[in-house]
Amino acid sequence: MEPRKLFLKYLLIYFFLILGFIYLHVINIEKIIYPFSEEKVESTVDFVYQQF
Amino acid sequence: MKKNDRKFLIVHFAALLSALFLVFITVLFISKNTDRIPEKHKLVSGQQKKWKGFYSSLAESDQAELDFVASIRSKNQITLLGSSEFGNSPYASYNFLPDSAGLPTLGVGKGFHQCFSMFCELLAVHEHLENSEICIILSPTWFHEYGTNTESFLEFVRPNFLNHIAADKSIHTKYKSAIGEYIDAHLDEFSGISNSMEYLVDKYRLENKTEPGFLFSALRKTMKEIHLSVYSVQDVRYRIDSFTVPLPDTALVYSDDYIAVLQNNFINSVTNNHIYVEDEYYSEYLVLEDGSQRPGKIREMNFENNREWSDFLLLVELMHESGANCSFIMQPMNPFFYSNLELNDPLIDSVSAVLGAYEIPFYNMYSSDTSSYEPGTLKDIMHLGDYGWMKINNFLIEQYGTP
Repeated sequence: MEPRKLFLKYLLIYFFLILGFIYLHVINIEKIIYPFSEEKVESTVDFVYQQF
Repeated sequence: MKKNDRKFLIVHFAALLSALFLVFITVLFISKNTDRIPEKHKLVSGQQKKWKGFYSSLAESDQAELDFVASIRSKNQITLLGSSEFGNSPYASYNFLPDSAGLPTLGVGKGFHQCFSMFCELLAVHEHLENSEICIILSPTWFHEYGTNTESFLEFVRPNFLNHIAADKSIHTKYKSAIGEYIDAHLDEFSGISNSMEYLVDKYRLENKTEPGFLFSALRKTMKEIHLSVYSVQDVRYRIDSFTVPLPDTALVYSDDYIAVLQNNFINSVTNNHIYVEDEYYSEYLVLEDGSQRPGKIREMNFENNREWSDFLLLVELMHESGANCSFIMQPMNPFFYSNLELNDPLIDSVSAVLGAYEIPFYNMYSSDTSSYEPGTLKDIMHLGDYGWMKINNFLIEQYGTP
């Protein structure tokens, strides 16, 4: 493949890889799409109070 | 290196650099087209409705959160923070003091409500802490566990509190960082993470550059600054309309005899054991299948890497710096049941020394031997009885008012 086509191919691959990493993994893209959604955080562990 | 390989590497490198540049332009473009500009502040307003009794969770209603803030803001009201000893006894301070001594008192707590939750709750209202009457009831059992659990943290450290802590620039970084460290250490125990929680985690990691997530947090922080219109944390302010508290015209005057009667009543009510534990509790929890009594032993406390101990120090530091009119109480454990309570003596001495250094009043109810323990102080092996509550009431009246 000639260098110019190779360059464009890798440019696209890197572009989507970096952009995807940032928006999917680094920041939560859902907050940009749904900015008014309620933030609800719960504990995934149920702690039961026990005497012993 | 072959000529073709070099050419291949140069193409990759050029493509990568160009992609980074294009990503930057794209992020800026998306950011400019995100049209949500949040209000700088969120106002929570309402009327104070509770000035006696207790809340077992601040998550039970918005009113609970509001009443807690109102209690801290009111300089003539005691805020009592505790844990599993809170119940419906008429002698519990949050019932007895308002009804009989003319002292409005609001209790907040239930089992697992420990130093770190308390620290966060109080940090969220730090601007109102000066001269606020706050009493914290500690339990020696907390220092044998692993600190505040995530369920309790979320129940008491409400989203509005976390938002305020994250957004308020006057709160010292060391406190924000401490909360960030807690959330970071328990990330897998939360179902998700809010903006303010994420902000605090990043704050902690960026303060501690050796943390594994440092680079990730640095990138996330930069991205969020670009997308500020979506990710900014709203500060929370409270407007509480009324502090009018109806008080009894005359305060009840009670004598030592009155308290002694409570103690005798309890002692006489115990019929199935000789360790001064309520009959029902004794049969349910302390009798083993073979009919023998469950042995009572505690573990030795380790001060190193003790989460509760470092949370306690953080809480004391906040109380000292804020100028709160704060006091601490250490609850006892029943030495007629536990046979090796002297293992807790270094803890009690250390708590006493720390509070003494800050000149914070401390009422120590703990005793490791049976000769100095007053039966009836506890109704079972670790929960306050009416007699114990009355001893606390006397201490609180001494600290915060006269009957």
